[in-house]
Amino acid sequence: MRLQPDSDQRELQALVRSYLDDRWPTSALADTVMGRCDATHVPWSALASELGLVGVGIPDAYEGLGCGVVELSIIMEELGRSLYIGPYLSTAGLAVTALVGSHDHAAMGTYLPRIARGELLATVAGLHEVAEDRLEDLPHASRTSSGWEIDGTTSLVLDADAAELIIVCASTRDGVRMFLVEAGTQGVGIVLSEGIDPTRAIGTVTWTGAAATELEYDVARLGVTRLRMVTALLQGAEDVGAAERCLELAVAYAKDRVQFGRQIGSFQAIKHRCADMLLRVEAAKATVAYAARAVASEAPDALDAALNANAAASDAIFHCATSAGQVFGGIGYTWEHPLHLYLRRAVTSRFLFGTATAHREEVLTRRIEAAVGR
Amino acid sequence: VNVIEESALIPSAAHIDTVQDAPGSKGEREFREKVRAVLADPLPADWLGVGRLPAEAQGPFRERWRSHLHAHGLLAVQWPVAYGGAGMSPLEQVIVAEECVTLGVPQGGLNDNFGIQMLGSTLLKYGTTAQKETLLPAILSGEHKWCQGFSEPDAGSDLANVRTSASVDGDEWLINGQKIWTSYAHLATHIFVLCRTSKAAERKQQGLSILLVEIDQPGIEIRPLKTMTGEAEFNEVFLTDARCPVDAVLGEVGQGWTAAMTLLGFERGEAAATLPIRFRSDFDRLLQLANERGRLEDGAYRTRLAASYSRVEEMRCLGELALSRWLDGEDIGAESSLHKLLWSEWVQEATELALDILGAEAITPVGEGLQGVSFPASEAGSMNTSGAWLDYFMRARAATIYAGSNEIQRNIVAERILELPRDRR
Repeated sequence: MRLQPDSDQRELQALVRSYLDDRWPTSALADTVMGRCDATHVPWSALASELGLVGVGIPDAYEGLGCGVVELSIIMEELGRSLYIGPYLSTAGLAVTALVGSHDHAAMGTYLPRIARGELLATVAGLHEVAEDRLEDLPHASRTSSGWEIDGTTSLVLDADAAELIIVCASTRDGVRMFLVEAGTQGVGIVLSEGIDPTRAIGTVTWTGAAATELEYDVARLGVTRLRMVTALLQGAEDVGAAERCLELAVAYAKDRVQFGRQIGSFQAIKHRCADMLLRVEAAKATVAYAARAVASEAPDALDAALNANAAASDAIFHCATSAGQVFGGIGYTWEHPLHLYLRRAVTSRFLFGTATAHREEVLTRRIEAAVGR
Repeated sequence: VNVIEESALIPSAAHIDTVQDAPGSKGEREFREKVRAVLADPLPADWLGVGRLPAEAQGPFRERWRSHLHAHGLLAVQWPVAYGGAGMSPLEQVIVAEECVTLGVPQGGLNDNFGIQMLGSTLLKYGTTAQKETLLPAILSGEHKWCQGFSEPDAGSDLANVRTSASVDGDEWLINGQKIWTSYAHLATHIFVLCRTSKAAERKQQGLSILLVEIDQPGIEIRPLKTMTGEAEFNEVFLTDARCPVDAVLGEVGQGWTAAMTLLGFERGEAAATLPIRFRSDFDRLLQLANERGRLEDGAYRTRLAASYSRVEEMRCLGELALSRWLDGEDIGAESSLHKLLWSEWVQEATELALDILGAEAITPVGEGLQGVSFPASEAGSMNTSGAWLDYFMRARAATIYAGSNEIQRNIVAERILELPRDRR
């Protein structure tokens, strides 16, 4: 399988990178993220209107660019590099994947063009419970005379406050299905959490007899699995970008900072630490690149590849954010320095949508079946 | 005993046709099937891999297997046809390597890594016409078996510190010094010797040359060097007024450092594809061991097994990425250091895990050690016994030292990829 990006994909990557370097630079992260600017500074509508990026995963017929998860994962890596805080993963990643994977032409026709134009923000609720394989904790959906109603709670919902459309995974008598609920519907309560990570807007959504429409799938179970693997992949791509940027900042500092009359990057203690960070970044990048293509081509090992990529990437960002701190020394421990934002993102990623340990355990279970037959 | 029959090794008249199409194409699949058929032809139906052959059958099998590969043009697949190669593309080389690994057969004899991969590739680039015409066919036929005379007692990681020296004496070089860690010197007929041919050098990388030396002469003594595993694949080589013709130089006199770096730098693109296959089969054997010892239900072991498998997958993905770049003609370069760090540390962790799975059984291992080469992964078909795992554990201790210690690899990664400043060394 060819894992390196083709020329169009490299162009896409360069485009997103230069755009974000200009509009969302790391140097300004501390100001922008820590609330010294208002939300209008976050580039969002321009991502949609100027670059068309919000519609990358949306088919041409619905005004999107008609690309796939490989392109999405390339964009996510770039967004992760700059710790972009806009609702891209939730809207262009998760919600679009849920809609596009369905057979619900009415829903796609209603929502996808608006998402592509940057006019509608959307998210998926219940993904954390799905990723942790706690289906019993999902809200319950029951039929009413006019459709469905949802009762229960979904935790750690990405961009819950901003989303105008929430696609909720809920259990029914026939297993998990997905439902469409517009924000403002009666019985939908959203509480934004005061989290450790200011680059992630995360909330809890409580459902009290909220009216919902089913997002129609031929086989809803497969849709949920697909959503789960795309979530793991895209979060992994985002983590890998953040890890790589963290390493770059540390390496730049090691070349700049002089102690004992020499650049500290000339000391092997620093070099080997940086080499270890690169090792984790490159290994994680390769697993993400492989997983993106496995998911795109619906390879038999796509779910395992995505879970493995997510685990590798989650470890990489955590490793880099902690190890870079040792390279920066005191300056990296200050509030003004962006390092703690990468560290905070690393903590979120470590637990949001399942842990590396749980993902690896699941992958191992299938390998044992294959190798030992039990 | 699984030893192939002599009669099965009659050379075929025609070599396999080459692939002209893109990867994944029909042409590639057909080529792969032909290679597989040629490789499988002399093997018995119950063949499990060279690792299953008993110790005494290893040598004879390898000799005959090498002849089989040679007879079908599969020994130096990328060499030009004029020098006895098959003139194949990198992709075809990868396919041959993958099929060998999948079937559990070697890709050549024990000395071929030095003769074909290192010296042969460098000769094709820098050798004189006379050298190419005489040396290359002799390497392929097996008449010349080469070993590598680089490391010395005072020149390990600091290779440029070699002290072995040579001076011209009439129409010959006269060589004096000592080499160490010389793999398979006891099986070799020739040695390429990195030595100092000029003392008037500003830097120690200058004034070095690589001389091509016959081993069967009074000035060369080879002593086996027994390692902690009890095996003796390494040797010490003593050169006392050893001689070689004055034109037996690889590249130019005084340019030995460049030649040495070229020789060590020949990228084995196919290794990126084959190593992960071998590690995955190691891992599956580890799972079977854990299953037999009732450890698969134990969370502590599962977590370590899961982490170990995750690394195997990382190596596979990194290997696929490197391979696709290599096939596109890109330089893998310093990134191969990242691969080396990953696999060498994986093999140590995996064998330590095997030890813990065995528990107290590790104190009194049963069964023979690993058969075959097992650098760095064990051979296909290896026995899943405590004896084999203990041997693997011991052998794995060398993985972070040979082929450039992991400390040196981390320096390379930091300086060449991350471009951190060089330290005084």
